[in-house]
Amino acid sequence: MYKKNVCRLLLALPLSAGMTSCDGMFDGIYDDEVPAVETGMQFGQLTVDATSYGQWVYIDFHNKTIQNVDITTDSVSGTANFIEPDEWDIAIHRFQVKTNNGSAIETVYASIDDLKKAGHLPDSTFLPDTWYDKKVITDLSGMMSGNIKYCPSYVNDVVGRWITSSGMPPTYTTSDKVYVIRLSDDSYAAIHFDSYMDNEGTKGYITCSYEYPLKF
Amino acid sequence: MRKIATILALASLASLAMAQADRDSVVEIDEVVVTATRTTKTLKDVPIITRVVGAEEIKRTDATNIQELLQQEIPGAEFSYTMGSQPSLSFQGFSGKDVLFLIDGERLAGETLDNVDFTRINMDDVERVEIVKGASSSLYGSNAVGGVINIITKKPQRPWDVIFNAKYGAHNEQRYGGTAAFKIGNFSTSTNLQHTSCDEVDFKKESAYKAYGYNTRNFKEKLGYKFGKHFNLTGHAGYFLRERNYSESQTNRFRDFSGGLKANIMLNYSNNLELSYLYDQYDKSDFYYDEYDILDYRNVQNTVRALYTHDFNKDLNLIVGGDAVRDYLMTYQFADTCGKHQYTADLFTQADWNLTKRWNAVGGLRFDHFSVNNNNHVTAKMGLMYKCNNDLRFRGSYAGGFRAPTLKETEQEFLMGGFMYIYGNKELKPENSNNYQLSAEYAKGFLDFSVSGFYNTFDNRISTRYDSLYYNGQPVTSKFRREHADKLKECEKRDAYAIYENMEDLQVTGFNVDLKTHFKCGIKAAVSYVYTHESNLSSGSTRPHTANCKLEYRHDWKNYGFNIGLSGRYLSELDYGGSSSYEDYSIWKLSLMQYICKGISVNLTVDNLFNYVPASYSAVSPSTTGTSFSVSTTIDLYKLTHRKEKDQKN
Repeated sequence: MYKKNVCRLLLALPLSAGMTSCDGMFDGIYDDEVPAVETGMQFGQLTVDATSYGQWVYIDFHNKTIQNVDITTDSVSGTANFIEPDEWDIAIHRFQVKTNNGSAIETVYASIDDLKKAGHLPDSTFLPDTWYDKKVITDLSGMMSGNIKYCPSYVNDVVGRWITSSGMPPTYTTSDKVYVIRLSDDSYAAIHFDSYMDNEGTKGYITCSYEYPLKF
Repeated sequence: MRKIATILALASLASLAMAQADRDSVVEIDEVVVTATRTTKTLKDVPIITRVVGAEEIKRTDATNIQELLQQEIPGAEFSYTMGSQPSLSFQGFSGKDVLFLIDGERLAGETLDNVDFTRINMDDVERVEIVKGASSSLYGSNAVGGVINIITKKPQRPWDVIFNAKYGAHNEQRYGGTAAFKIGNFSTSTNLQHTSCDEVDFKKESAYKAYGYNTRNFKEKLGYKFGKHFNLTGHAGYFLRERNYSESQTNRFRDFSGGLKANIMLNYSNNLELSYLYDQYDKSDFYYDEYDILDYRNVQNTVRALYTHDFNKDLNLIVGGDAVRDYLMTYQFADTCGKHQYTADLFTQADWNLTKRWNAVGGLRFDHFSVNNNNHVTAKMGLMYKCNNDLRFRGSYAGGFRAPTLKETEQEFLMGGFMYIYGNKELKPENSNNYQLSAEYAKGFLDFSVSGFYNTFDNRISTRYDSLYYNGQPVTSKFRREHADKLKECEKRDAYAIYENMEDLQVTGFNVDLKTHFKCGIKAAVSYVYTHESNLSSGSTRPHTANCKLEYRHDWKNYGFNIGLSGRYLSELDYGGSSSYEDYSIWKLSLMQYICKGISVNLTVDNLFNYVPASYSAVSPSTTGTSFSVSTTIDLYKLTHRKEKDQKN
């Protein structure tokens, strides 16, 4: 009886080892194929790929177009170069936003529908962009040796409040507020930043709800 | 001034306890431990000093996980929040990767920034924690460089047990759990469940440091069957899930699936064979938008072990054992998503010999083989104990320790934060340590006093070294770049990288003084002090002076009893080589444990009694926002329903 039990045990150990997978079990509880985020703008929603520090993403509300433009840095002078499209309304670089001679306000509303239900624009002062020499980072690779590369640019600080970060690595928090942008032709666009990453967590894929032209 | 006040407070606690001494007092030195020699020995007979935190002590500390317990009980154990607010252990000159955590003698899969997941160890299910300081690689292999912390879980002892526990504390901290255990004839079973949660703790003064809100779920099932007197089979299965609220759209998930079988075969009176198989899988995933759960880290360890014990006679015990481990690691920090494997195999032996009535010697030898880079390693240990009489013991030991390069350290290729690559290095050598200890222990009546000195040499330490291809536009040359030119081609466009390398040697020296008293009148007191000195480091990484103390008074009536306790811990200033320093601090805790009808206990706790708040928060600040309160309760149904039997026995 005793020997029989020992034999059973010696069989049970390798069998139990065989029952488990060497590279892990329960793969089914995870999502393998996550739908990729499609960039573009339609039906009041736009998604841009602003993952690269080396690009501006230009948005034209009038013609419903999005265009990614590379920023190149001159190796001798360190000057940042890029070619702006002929027509654009706002541009996004990672999480920063600039307008094309526009201005913006932050509302208290968490959705464009709520803003429209109010029936009128909030009584706030529209603020234009501000020029910064060192705010738009184009290359972080020299950070440890104090050699970060920037693209001098206008940036709209009001719309820039849509996201804040803290800690290292940074944790991002969105404001969940609607921003109204007065464009250079005095028309208005309302925009709500819905998310800052794709379904796999890649930060820089920005999805917004928008309405243009904004009418009450 | 604060230092003096703290030292005076510690000293007064000790003297108060001493003043209460009486001849009937007792000290518990007959407790059985297993970690130091891998065999059962009493504390007084074990040749290497072992610190034990028992179930009752654990209950009184009200610790939910091992992190909370160690912080309160062990001087020099400090947990800080490093990058990403992940807890990181500093332990008397060593970091989390140098201290081996075991559950019932088995290592844990998975790590974050070189630390195991401390929250997966549910203290509600723990019988005792054994802490052996110094190297123990001759018995436990890699990672046992600075110490071994073995968490021994509870085994069913009574015909049945049903226990519930709950806790509510600051920041909406909640804990609910319970155990149901049965022992019927040769069969035993134990089921343990626990749920915890806590809101985010924002330290406010600096936004960079916060503790994320979380919830955990922990399940463990243990089964046992005795086939006669000689054959015992046990199995366990466990599931653990921790969810960390990282951001509004992202939850970090940490899961563990474990299982194992162990057979204990008593071949005859003097021969015993233990065979075991253990499976441990630790996953990390990110849950986005409450919809997509993306796996980005997995560590799987399959371990098969054999351990043979032979008693030649009462005075000589020999153990021979071996492990075969398959280690699998998949992480987003590898260049591709394919996992990497490492196979390890080891053989070890140890002889424990009572040379005379007064002299005991223990010696061990171990050979480890690692498939990555074909690393082989031999470690040895020797220990000697001399008992002057029943009360006074002297111990001396040498132990080797090592830590083999992990798959992460050899294979990593990861762009951190979009600005710096971190590269693994397949040419890494194992870290080595040599640990020398001398100690004296006196235990008689109400007093248990021990003093021990330790000296550790630590070479080939593995850490990341930052380098740059260019500095302010000027090329920088380095030996490494010449040797790894091919690897660096890939990061030519980037001018910064870090790579794992063997670093300069380190020596850690220090001494430990422990004083414990326990009187029949109900008073208990303990003071423990550690001095640690690191040399050959350009900047310090550990606090030189640390102390813990405790004063308790317990009184019991027929259906009511209480235990009131004051405990404190002091950690001296941490000086980073003059470039920066972090202030010293002490944190005190007052707790009142009430025992009602033998089976119900209610614990009221005031933590951080004197409202210590760091002047500024840093990675090495205690994670406190000031004085906090908590209440917890445990209901033991077996004790409640059998209290009359217990009274009659008494």
